[in-house]
Amino acid sequence: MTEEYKLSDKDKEKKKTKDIKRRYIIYLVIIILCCIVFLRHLVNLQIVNGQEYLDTSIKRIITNGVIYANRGNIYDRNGIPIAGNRMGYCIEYVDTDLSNREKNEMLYKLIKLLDQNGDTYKSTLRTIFNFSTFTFNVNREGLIKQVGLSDEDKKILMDADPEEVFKYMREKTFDIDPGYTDEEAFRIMEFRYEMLIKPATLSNPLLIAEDVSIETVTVLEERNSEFPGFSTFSKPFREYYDAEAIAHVLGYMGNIGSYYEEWSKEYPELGYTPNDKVGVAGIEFALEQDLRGINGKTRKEVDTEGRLASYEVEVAPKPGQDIYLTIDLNLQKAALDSLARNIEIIREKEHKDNFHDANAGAVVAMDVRTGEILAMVSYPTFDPSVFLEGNYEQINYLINHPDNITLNRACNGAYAPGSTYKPLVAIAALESGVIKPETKIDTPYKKEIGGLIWTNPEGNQKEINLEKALATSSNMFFFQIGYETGIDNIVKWAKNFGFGSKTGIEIGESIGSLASREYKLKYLNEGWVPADTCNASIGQLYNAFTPVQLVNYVASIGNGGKLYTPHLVRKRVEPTGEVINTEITYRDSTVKQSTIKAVQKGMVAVANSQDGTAVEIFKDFPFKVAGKTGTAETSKKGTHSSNALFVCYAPADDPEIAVAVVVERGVRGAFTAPIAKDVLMTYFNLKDSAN
Amino acid sequence: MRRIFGSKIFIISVVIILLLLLAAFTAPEDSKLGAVRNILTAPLSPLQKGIETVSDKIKDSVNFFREIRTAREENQELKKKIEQMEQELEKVYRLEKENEDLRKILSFKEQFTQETVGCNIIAKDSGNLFETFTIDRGSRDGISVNDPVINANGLVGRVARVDLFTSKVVSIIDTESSVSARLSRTRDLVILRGDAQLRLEGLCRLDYIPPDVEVSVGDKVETSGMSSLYPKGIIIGEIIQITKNEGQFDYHAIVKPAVDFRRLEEVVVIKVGAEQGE
Repeated sequence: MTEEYKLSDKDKEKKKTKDIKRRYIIYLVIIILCCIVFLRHLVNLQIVNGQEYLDTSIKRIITNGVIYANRGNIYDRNGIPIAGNRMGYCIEYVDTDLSNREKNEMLYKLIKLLDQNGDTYKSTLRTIFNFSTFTFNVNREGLIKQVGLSDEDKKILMDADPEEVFKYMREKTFDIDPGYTDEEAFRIMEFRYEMLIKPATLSNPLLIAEDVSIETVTVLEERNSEFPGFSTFSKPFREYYDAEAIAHVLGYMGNIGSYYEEWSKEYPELGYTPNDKVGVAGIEFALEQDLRGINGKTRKEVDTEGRLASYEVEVAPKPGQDIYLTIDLNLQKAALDSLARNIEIIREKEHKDNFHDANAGAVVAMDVRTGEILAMVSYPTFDPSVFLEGNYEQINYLINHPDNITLNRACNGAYAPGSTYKPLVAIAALESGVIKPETKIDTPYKKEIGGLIWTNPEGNQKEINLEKALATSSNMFFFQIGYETGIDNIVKWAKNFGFGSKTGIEIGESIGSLASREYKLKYLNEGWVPADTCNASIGQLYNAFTPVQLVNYVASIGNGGKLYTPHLVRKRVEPTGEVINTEITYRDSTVKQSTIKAVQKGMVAVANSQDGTAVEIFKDFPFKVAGKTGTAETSKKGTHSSNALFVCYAPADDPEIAVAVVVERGVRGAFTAPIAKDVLMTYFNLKDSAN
Repeated sequence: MRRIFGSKIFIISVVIILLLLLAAFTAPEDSKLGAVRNILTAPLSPLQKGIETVSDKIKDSVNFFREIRTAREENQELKKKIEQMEQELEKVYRLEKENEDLRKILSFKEQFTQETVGCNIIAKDSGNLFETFTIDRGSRDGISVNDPVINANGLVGRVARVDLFTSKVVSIIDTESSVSARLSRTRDLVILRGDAQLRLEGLCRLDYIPPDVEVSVGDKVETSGMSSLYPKGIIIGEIIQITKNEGQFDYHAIVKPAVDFRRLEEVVVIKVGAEQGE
């Protein structure tokens, strides 16, 4: 029994072992199978599709980027560069899910970095809240709307002390650590406010700073893990080279934001964004659409922090046209030098009518055969780069200066022409048959014309003809012939010679005004009296012309009566190399050649006859010059010197160049003739050396 | 028999003989015991010679293998030296060009003032290339975040994360990497970035090349002196392609790094962080 039991026990034991073994094998097979499955998956994950999965694990987003088109360069007529572009770096930001504390810490680091490299940044908060005085620069409503966390808070903040508002922003809105000083906190707030008002998304990042140093870019790029959300990009920035002499012609560029409201409709339609800069004056403004080019588009891959992973060009940008001006930069500089120098000289000059207040002026030189403006100077001038740098202190200084520094006096300054108008009156008189070239007119010291008694500053000149009258600038002669010609005839011929209307120059210009019946009626609501014609005949009364109108007029006298369209752009060059030359256009003044000849003769006498008003200045000049001086009284007579003008063309027998000079409070017209002389001298010397 | 072997005297005498023999063999040459050895060794000497010859042979062949190993090491070292020399030659070229020998030599020396530590790569992220990988040294070895990583060929990357015994390195082909670089020939500053597409081929993108700078294929790129992380003058690679997009102002180039990111075993970490006390 026991044996049997033992046996079966042993059997059982054996069976049990076998059982365990079998189980063990089954388990082993299962485990091995599992391992194989896992291994297969692992291989699949890591090796076969590893790269793919890695790529998808790094979250990236495809979005569109901008390739900024290169703005066209601007050159003088000989190809000397005036405006171009350089590469600059910008910083943009994409919101990441950092805590307030982390964000503030990062911004503090960024501020230190920017400071260290002397870089500036955009700040809307600064324009609203003045930190140094703790006051609001503008109505606080917009700010409160943004920073108030609840309607209740907003209500309280509207009436709270600025200090309370600051404290609220610091502690509540932006949660800035008390460890920072108020100033540090304010600067952090400047960035936080920017991020608050313009949410920065991957497809529309927030522009933080423009044109920062390479040092800042280096740190932001290399240490990008310390500045999550920040990235850099490059774009062309406008650059002016030695442009102070040509500032008013060139103009400058400004932030579209400042002009956005005015043209809120046009700019977005033309594809501008609020961060863009546009030409706001001069050629930069006038040829904005030719210069700007068309931005391109990239398809870019960015990670969640806005960092560029890769990109490809989707639409290539189209650079703007290069502009070649008609200006000769050397002549331009000579004109400015001479103008500035002679204004000093005039101011110091001893003369009974000199109030020593000359301080501004303009010079325009034009090719009488084409209408090309060879030089256009306005004084005082400025460095247009100031506007590019966004240096607001200097910009405000320039804009608010009592001398109106940024005004282009050559195009927008309207001056009574004084005696420079006399050739026009002579043309009107000759054309209407009031006088013939050799007609002699009695010019006593005193005479009654048109109901008023007039005196001749030149004294009793007795019987003189037109040539002598122009040479000596006889007022009495022109009172007489003007009166006889009549204002309507004078106005007709003034209009024929371009006065009272725009010349058509590319950049902004003033129409000026023309002394006429309509003008007096319109602006003074008064009827014309005969004595008005006498005043108008010597370039006074309501006559006010721009230097560019004057130069166009004198050029026309020089070339025999053609009014070319004054222009500053000689040619435009497409990025493809295609050249678009400016078409030379002119209008005929319809003046008779005999008339022109008689007037020319008189103007030659101004600079060449014994008693010519400018003969002293041109006596050694190698070319014969035809000119006319002008001294125009202003409304401030008695406390201010008169405005002084000089117009001329040369060489007198085969004219090439016409010059108009105006010096505000320049005392006597003849005082400004040396400026024209310097311009002519430089022009002919340059021409010589070029040959 | 049993008694003899069992007797205490026999055991004692055997032990004494054995001790004597041991003493004789181990005694110095001039010792009196030497006689005993001589007597004993004389008949054994042919046998011993044979043994010695065999052992010499074995020793020789062992030495032969050992020498091969040293030769190989030497060879590797020489290769490394050649690479280094090539690198230095490039630097010399630059020095000549800049004509600022003294200053350059100083900065050149500066490059070697930082302590370095050699590391082995112990893990890498999936993919064929060493974009991000782990090395066998960590904070215990004085490695800090942002320390530059190089090998004999040039710049590898920087340390992105440090643990006690290991560190994570982000290479220059990774999209997280940006390096302030300089064109060796023209000295212009540029930014070298990892590119999501180019990294697959072990290449980098060179951004911000100003339009007035003429670069050509084959131009060398090195770390600039302006970098906030990398010492000056470490070779990065050479330009293999220039991409001037139509109408774009600045342009970019594709750089083939001097380091082969397909095969990377050992790297050197320059302990910049430790020196700056970061």
